[in-house]
Amino acid sequence: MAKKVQAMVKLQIPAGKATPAPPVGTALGPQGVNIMEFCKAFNAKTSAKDQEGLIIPVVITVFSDRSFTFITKTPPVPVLIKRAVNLAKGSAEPNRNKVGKITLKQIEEIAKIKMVDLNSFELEKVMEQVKGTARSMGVDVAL
Amino acid sequence: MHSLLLRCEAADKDLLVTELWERGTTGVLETELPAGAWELRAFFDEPFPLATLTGAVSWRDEGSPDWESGWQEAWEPLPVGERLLLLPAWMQPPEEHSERRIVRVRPGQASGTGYHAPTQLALMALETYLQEDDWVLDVGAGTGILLAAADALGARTLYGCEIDRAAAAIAQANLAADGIPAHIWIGSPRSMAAGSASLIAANMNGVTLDLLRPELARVLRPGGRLILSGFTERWRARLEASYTAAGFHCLATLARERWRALVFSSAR
Repeated sequence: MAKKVQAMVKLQIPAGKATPAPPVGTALGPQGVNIMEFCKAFNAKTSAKDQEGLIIPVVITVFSDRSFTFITKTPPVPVLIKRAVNLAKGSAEPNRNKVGKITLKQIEEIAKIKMVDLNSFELEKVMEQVKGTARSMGVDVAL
Repeated sequence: MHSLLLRCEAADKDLLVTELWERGTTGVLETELPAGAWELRAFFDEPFPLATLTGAVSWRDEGSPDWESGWQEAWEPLPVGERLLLLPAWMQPPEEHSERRIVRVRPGQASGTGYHAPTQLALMALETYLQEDDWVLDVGAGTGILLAAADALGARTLYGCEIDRAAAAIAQANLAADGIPAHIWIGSPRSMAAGSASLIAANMNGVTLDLLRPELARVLRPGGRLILSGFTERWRARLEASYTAAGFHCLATLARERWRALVFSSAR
């Protein structure tokens, strides 16, 4: 069928736990999108064990006949860092108070996950970005 | 439920979103602003002081509407042409349209709910050019709406092909829910024998319709009708020329907004 894009909606919601409540309902309801069907499809796609507890960015494309498709992206880097070092919260004063330590191996694993979204083929560059984010959270990078 | 409006630069967004999760947000809606800035709307059960979070602008009370079925309010019955009525599956048929034939609509991921001009043009062409006992093929069946309309208009046998596996399943389920017998498969018209359809409808982009011409010509019976929709004026001229050169006779051009549809008959 011919398609024309009416809106693109960007959300961040918990993996496997989308519900019709906001932000899903608020963002998609006025567009006439079948919210229960979106939640069902999103939860099915993000319910794998390794995604449990993660925040998933999702881009929903709504067409002018109010049908929709969506793509999921990788979680934000700080969320992946927190999971890697088992951290509850980043530091409010990252220069003074250090709240954790992350290894180069963990940095590399996060960089490899993020490369898909960053459309980058240079692992080193992405690792540098991850290191920068870790430092701004008060997480030391082990050399 | 309350929502918090925030603004930030792109470089700060991931850290800010992570902090929102640490504070218990149920989710974040993101809007990209010019010059690399972002507007975020984060949802919380209870508000907290704005001054405690960088970038926070204001709170809004979202109330507690029925989120589960509220989206259905955006839909209403839609008369199409002279005889058809598109009716969302959860609605009762309205009395003022009791003479119209109902085509049930089940919105979801598959395209073709009927609330878009190209599908409406294809429906209007079906209404005019479908004959009772037609063997109908819908190329790119989407939700199955054209086959449901063909059934309502008296078609004898319904075929639908769809290259999208999920859409094919949706079309099958939608038609089955209405008790409409149809043969849906994942693939193209190549799976059909020559001359096996007396009417073909294809609602898709101009490039694909041009590429499909030899296959549609093979599958359509001599004297059969072909409905093409899903393109604008530029493609109407190209498709009309290429199909006419291939021996089709143009019966009509339909127009709605910037969209066009063509109806052909094949040589006898």
